[in-house]
Amino acid sequence: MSEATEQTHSCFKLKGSLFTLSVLYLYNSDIEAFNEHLQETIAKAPNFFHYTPMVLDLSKLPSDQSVDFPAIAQCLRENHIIPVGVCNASEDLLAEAKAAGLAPMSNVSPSDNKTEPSSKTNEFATTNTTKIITDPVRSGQQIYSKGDLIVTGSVSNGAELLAHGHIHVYGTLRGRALAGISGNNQARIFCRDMDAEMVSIGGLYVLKSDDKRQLRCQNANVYLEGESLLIA
Amino acid sequence: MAKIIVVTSGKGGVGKTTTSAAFATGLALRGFKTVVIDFDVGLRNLDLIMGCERRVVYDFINLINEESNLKQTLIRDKNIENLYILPASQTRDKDALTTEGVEKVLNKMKEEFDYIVCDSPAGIEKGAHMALYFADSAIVVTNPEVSSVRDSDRILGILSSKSKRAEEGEDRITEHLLITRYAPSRVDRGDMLAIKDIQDILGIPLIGVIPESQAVLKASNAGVPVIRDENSDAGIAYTDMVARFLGEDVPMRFTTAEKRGFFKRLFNKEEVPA
Repeated sequence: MSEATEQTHSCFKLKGSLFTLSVLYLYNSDIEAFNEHLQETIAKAPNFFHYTPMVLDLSKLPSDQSVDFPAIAQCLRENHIIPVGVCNASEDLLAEAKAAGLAPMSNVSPSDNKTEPSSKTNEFATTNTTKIITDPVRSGQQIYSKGDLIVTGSVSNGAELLAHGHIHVYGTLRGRALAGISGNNQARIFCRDMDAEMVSIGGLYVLKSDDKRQLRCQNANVYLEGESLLIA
Repeated sequence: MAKIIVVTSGKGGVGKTTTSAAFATGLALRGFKTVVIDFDVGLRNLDLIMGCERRVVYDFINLINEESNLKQTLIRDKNIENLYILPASQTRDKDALTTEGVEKVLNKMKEEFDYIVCDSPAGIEKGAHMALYFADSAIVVTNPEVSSVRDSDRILGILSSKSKRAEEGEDRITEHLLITRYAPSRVDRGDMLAIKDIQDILGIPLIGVIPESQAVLKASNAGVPVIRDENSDAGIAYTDMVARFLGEDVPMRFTTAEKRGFFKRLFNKEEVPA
């Protein structure tokens, strides 16, 4: 109700919100080279760059170089990219950027930028895909993995395992295990000793009360075939 | 430097306070300077079990708020040297326990004592959390029934994730399983979980099994920790448990049902299990 009255009395309302913005790291300020490189990049994915808001990051720019902000902004706009702001700029450059109508953005910590993009993705690949848990998973605990999940101990009643990929349990699984939670039908659950409350793959589940015999077994391999969950 | 031991369970009524009193008394009887702290602020009980309720003047909360000092607040056991009790406040609630306050009090005690036994309240809220937060070891008290085992499992999860040692990445808390109110005859009949079943689920080393015993209620009412009843099964079991805690190798007792002879059955009716 209060919101409705507010709407009639004022013409706008301010609220904070988070957006994902593309960041363009400037290596040097040669405007012609910039234009050429930009054209090439856009040619590869024209739709992706259509009216995309862009932030200029100057952290990679040699400190003694000056930047012609109006020219760069102009060049971006001509290529249907909207320059919105500047980050990691020196004070002098920041003043020039403001004069060119670019917003000062909060600086991203340099440590994030130091690593080369390629090595960064590699690091992610090793740390993010598989999670290994060596402690027992107790009642009330929830373990989530963006990739596969390996538990070397037991999983108690009332505990929950969630993984986008496969789940492996080397102890006794007494709790719940949900593999392929983002809809990955190829995910499986492997378990040395299964006494689970529930197993689920890609959203399809079997409860202990549904089928006692099946959920109590050794060396289980749970997978999805068509619309049915099989336990072998 | 003192070692801090929390006696905890998650579930209520399983024997935390009985165990805290017996365990602390046992350590003191072995010659260690021991203090037992009641963390159950608002539901003060430990002083009753320890038989010192009439001697409570200041309490744990007074000490935290610096309204009294350690010497004024600690109650010295009348019978056993080296044994001290820090009672909880009966008029306050658990919110009066602050991390900083509890740490300050424990640090002061660490200089003077060998062992600090923290008697945790039931539940997983503030009081229980404060009791386990600074612990070096934990005695997880469990009854042989499913809800108690489930709650103990939950507490073990909290010990390994929300204690100071876990948060600061130090060595993990040493966990011990203590099974209380165990009745072998009922296990044989299938009414009660067996020791092995509980150990399978919780997966931590067993430090003792205390049998279901009439001596416990009698001791509580008398205000004398049951470990001092040297002829009772529960008292003996607690003495064994203290020895195991101190690293001695003592075999488990009272874990199998006693064969009852004809005359015993005839003349000793009061011991028939309910």
